[in-house]
Amino acid sequence: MSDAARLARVRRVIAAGARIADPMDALGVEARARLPAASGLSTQGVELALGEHLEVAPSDEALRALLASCGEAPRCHLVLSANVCTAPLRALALAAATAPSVAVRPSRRDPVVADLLVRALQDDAQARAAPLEIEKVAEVAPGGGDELHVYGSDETIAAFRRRAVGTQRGGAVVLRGHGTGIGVALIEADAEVERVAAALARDVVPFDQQGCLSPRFALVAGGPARAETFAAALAAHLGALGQRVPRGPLDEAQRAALAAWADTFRAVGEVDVGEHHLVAVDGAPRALLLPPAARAVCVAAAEPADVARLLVAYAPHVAATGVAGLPTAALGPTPRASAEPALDAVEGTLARALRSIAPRARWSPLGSMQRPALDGPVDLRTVRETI
Amino acid sequence: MLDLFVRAWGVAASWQPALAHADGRLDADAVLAAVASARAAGSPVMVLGTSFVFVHLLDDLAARVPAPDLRLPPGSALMQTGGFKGRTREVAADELRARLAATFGLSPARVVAEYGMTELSSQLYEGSLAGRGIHGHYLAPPWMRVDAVDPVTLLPLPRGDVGLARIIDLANVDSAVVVQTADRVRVTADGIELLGRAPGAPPRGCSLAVDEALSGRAEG
Repeated sequence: MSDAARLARVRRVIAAGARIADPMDALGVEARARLPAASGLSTQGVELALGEHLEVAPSDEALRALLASCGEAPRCHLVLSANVCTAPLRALALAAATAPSVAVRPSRRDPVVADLLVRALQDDAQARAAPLEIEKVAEVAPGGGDELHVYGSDETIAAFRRRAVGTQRGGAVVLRGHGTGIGVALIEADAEVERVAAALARDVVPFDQQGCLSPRFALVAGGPARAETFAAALAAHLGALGQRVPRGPLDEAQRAALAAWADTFRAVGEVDVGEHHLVAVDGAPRALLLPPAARAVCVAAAEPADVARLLVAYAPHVAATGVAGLPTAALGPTPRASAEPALDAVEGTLARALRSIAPRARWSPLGSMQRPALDGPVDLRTVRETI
Repeated sequence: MLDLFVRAWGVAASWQPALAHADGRLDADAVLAAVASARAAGSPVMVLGTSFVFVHLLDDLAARVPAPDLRLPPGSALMQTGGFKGRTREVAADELRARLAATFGLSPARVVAEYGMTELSSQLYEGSLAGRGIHGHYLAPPWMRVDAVDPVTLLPLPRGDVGLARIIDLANVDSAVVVQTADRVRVTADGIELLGRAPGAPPRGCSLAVDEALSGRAEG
């Protein structure tokens, strides 16, 4: 199969996504009507997700990288979870790059964007001509030579792995599991606090931190006073953004989790509880406690020598790192590939310290963590395995 | 902690290493031998263990024909502690108590449950062994207080309402005197009812859930 054919299929998926992003298109209208209930986001949060975070204008370079990240198979089976609401676009693009025939099992909890993408592609004559054949299924049944892409918790992926082993028809299947993760923000000693706090707020608000790229921890170099200044600035920016894009409604379990986390931090630091956010700061952290995923950020003072100690338990889960205060050239325009050697070259930084324990995290400048290029799986920790 | 008491009191005790397999399960044959020895001596004994270990022991013994004799000497008692967090199998408290009483030849009042945690210096016990209280209700010593608090506001709730246990332990001289737990309780005049652990917030999206991180279940 030529790359041109694969690229043509991916472009049809992107075109379908563009219809959903468009508030004037019938699919865009339907997405905006259904997603608040399905995704747990506010109506403004849904608009932010569809209007600014759906990857509908990828660069040619990104698409070449996406093709290179995928295998090839006669058919790709896609199992989606209630991931961030825009995630099905990338998942379908990866599946379409892999195979001309795609079977999609949408999330039961949030099937909206997957439903709409499938409908758009089935109605798209250019997609059929590509050819890209797509169908929605209740259960996937991979056959020999097929690929199985599973999105969900690590337990879900393990369950599909167990189920697939030995039961697939006609030979081995390639499994690509996309699990859970967290994002970490690094504020280096040279970063300008006020500007960087605004950038981090822009990374926290989208999807209400439901994504594996969402920053939950922010490590601030330069001492406790600087961490406290940064936390205050972050809280102010989250407060302002929250007025424009409110957090989605919280259920009692989520409110209880936030209350418990905040109360824990009151024992060791300061907590700012806003209407739509929560920021805690610890000037002398002995350990880090993961905040609930509901626009809650743990800010901690840290020097490069502290990073491994503080994050070692979370290192396998770090899917994304946003960094501020490094030379711009160290990150480059497409953070995924070009940043890594440069990051290694910048000694004595939080970034280099974290990279040594989380080498497969996706890197980007703060403010861009939620805008990864459409260059392959969003989570670079994913691996393809033959089962 | 228990071995310190054993040493201080100078009493005879069989400690877990003597009765356990390498994987932590009790060695049922060793338990049978220890019980037989106690019965021969005719002295009352106190059997202490975790609920989960007792379940494994009962399962092991139930498979044996004929049923082995585990009756303890008169005046003996049994204390169980701990729940089933992270285990694959749970047994209702009443059912476990009944099976333990029947197996060890004790009246149900001689099977007492304990509630404690590493963060506390003191523990709560059911009062049946002291002839007061009812099963399922735990009594705190005079220097300990348990309040139920609202999970969201963390403010104390009226007596009888279900909330999270907040424990003040004045024996925690060198550590935090107040411990906020995630255990659901109801506080009444009869004692503290334990109602299990509060469920964590359900996972959202592909973000790592707090419970997942704490349990170490997630793998990168």
